[in-house]
Amino acid sequence: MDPLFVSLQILNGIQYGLLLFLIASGLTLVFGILQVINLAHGSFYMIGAYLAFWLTSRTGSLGTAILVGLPLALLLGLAVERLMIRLLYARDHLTQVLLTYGLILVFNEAQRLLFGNDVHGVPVPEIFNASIRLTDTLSYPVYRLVVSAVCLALVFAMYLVIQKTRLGMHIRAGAVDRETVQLLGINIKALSMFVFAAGAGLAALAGMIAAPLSSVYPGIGEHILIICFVVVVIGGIGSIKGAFIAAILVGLADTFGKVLIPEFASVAVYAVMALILLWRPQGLFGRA
Amino acid sequence: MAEAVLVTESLSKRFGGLVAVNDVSLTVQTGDVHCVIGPNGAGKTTLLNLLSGALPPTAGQIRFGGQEVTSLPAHRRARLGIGRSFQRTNIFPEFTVYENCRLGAQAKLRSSMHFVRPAERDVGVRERAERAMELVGLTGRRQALASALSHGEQRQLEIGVMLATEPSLLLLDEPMAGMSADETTRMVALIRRLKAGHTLVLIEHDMDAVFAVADIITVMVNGAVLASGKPDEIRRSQAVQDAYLGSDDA
Amino acid sequence: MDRNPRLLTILAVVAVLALALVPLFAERYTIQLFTKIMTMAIFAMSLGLLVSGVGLVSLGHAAFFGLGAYVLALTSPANEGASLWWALPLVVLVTAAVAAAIGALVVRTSGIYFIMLTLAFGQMLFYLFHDAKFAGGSDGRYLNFRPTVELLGSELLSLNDRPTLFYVALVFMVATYGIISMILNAPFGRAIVGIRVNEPRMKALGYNTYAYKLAAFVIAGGLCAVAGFLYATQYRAVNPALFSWRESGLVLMMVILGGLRSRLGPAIGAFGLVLFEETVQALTDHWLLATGVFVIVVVLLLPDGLASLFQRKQPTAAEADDG
Repeated sequence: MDPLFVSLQILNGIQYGLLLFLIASGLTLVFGILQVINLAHGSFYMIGAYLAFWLTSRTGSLGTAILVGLPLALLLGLAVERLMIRLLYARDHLTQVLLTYGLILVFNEAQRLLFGNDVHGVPVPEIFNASIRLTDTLSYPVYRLVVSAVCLALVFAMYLVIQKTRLGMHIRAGAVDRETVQLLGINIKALSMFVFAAGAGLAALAGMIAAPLSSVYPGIGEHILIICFVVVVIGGIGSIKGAFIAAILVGLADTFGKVLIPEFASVAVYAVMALILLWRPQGLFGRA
Repeated sequence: MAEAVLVTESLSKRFGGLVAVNDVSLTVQTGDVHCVIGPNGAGKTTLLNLLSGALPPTAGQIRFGGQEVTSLPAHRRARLGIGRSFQRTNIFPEFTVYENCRLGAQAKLRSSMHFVRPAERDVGVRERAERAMELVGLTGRRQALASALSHGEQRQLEIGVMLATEPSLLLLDEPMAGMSADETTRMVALIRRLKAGHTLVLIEHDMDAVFAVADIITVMVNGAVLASGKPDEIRRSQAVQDAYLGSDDA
Repeated sequence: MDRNPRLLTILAVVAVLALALVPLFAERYTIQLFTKIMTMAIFAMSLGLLVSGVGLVSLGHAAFFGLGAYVLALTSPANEGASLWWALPLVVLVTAAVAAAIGALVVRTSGIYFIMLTLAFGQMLFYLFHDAKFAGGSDGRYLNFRPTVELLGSELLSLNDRPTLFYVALVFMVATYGIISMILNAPFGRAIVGIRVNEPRMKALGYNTYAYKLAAFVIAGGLCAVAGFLYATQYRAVNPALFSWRESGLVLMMVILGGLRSRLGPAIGAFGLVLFEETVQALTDHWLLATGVFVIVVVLLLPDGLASLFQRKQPTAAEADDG
């Protein structure tokens, strides 16, 4: 294979992986700190994508759509945490699955009611609507680079928050041991609320910036949710570092799967997961 | 000299930087009641977990009945005859006393998977369960839900479930924990009865009870064995007095 | 565990007898609907063995439903029906073998991990059949002829006859209940319930809990294949949506809403949910919205699930004590 082509695929894989990380990081922290399995996490991605579609068609600008949509998504995350998720902390996984599954049904049907079953597109913002010509047949869209850059900036910001701030220390402690955090006098309720809302916001933001790359369609949230489960399972529950490495791994496996074994591309990711689990049942960075 | 039923050689367990069990070499003789005492955090329960197979050791060896069992998982060791009771009462609360014991008795079936014949029909299982209930004195409470038993009765059931597997070596983790004086007396009597036909390794904090039942006492401090010997020797040992007994006399 | 099973058993027998009368009076549509419900009841009961038996919450059980249906569709000859005598065992065995392979990996885990892993493996099978040409891709495949039931060269039953298929489904449903009951009453069943309640203790007693969980997973998969077999027979078509995690989620809802403490719970849940779907669907296109709201309300208002509405109170300590 042509090295240029391979490098472009690597770039694509990393870009997809970074996007997955934005979504999976919230998921893994909600598992780790709130000890809640949130099936509806993918719905925030879907909501982000549809907000991007709706607000862009109103305002004509994806940037404005994000500025307006992100606070909306954060508020929604806060509301869901306050009204529903909070009641699940003491409940078993079965109840959590049931309630968040119910939430998915509600979100999905709300989406169908508001936007129907059609597939929608979101235009790439004008200033980024260009391609870098590499050879006569190969070119690379600028917007993909922009998405990667935004994701990288967010990853870096997350790293700073988690490693360098007091809040981050609490988050790290919470992911290791919820009881200890309470003993240390940290307000676990406020921490949980923050983590959940931030996770929801990140997932929605991912949905917004990815909207111009892939179309916006019903069921978009569930597809991404399950891939993110795979990321969390590979990385190990509660591990941000694990989620990052697993996300890149899954991004690359998915991209190269599509190139090398197009017929079974979607299976490739799950095969990688199965292999890693044979080796480490608790995930790469999970505690046994 | 009787043959040793359980031997550990330089057994160690580390959790990260913490050494919970440090180079413990024990010999438990057949038919003895071997008590392990020591302050909280001495590594007694971890030692029991290593013996039962609930935890893998970091280093060292365990032999049971002359057979090397160091790397066998818990369920395999149980089938060889190592029974274990827990410090925190660990029964099946939603089952009756009888059902609890039957679950223990059934573990002994040679081929463990039976899908067709009702569990009730197996006479051997039923008899083992009955015997276990009788040994711990719960026959009269057979239909009571385990969750409805008093604390002392639950501790008895805890041992009954284990006895139903017909083990030859019993590992008991603080069987008297949280018991009233009456209940403790009954438990001491039970342990004396069990001595016929079983070897016992016992962790206990109640010193009166320990000296009442022990043939051999091993004192652990900070994960290591400080002293091991007959009750009289342990009582007289200055090292033990200094490290442990003196402060615990009250 | 059923501690007061008598009343429920009588009700169940009455319900089965009433059900047996349906084809005598009902019209075509109703017969078809109830055939489908009984298929779903088998599906739900097989999952119930995992969820309320062993305590393993699988969110990928539809994989075995889809697999059962596809194995029948793919192995049926093009110009005649497959014989039920070999097709049904084949469907069950192939599905159970796949369940063993997946189970070997997933039952090593528990809790959240198990939920996510079963979901992921279910999705893996979904994509496998979605993308595979031999299985007809996203359109799936048709079954040209329904399986035949012959004895000594002459036709015993015709599954093309709607009432006959209905009764076959009824027999399969009752048989599934019988098999699950038998298993739960046998030493194996006692052991898996013990594992649900307290796994470390079971290990200390000498149970190889991994083997038990794996065996239960395989049995549940095999029983589920029977439901898939019935589905493919009834609709003469299979498609990848059978594997989808919505299907897994719906069947899990049936199990939970029907009541985890009763062996009949999953079947009750299947009847309840499908009939609810039928009723709401007649009124609105958005029946899933109603279902979603319903589920959320149940979880928030009834901490012990819908079943607690219909269930006698658990015996309190004092009541259980008088024995």
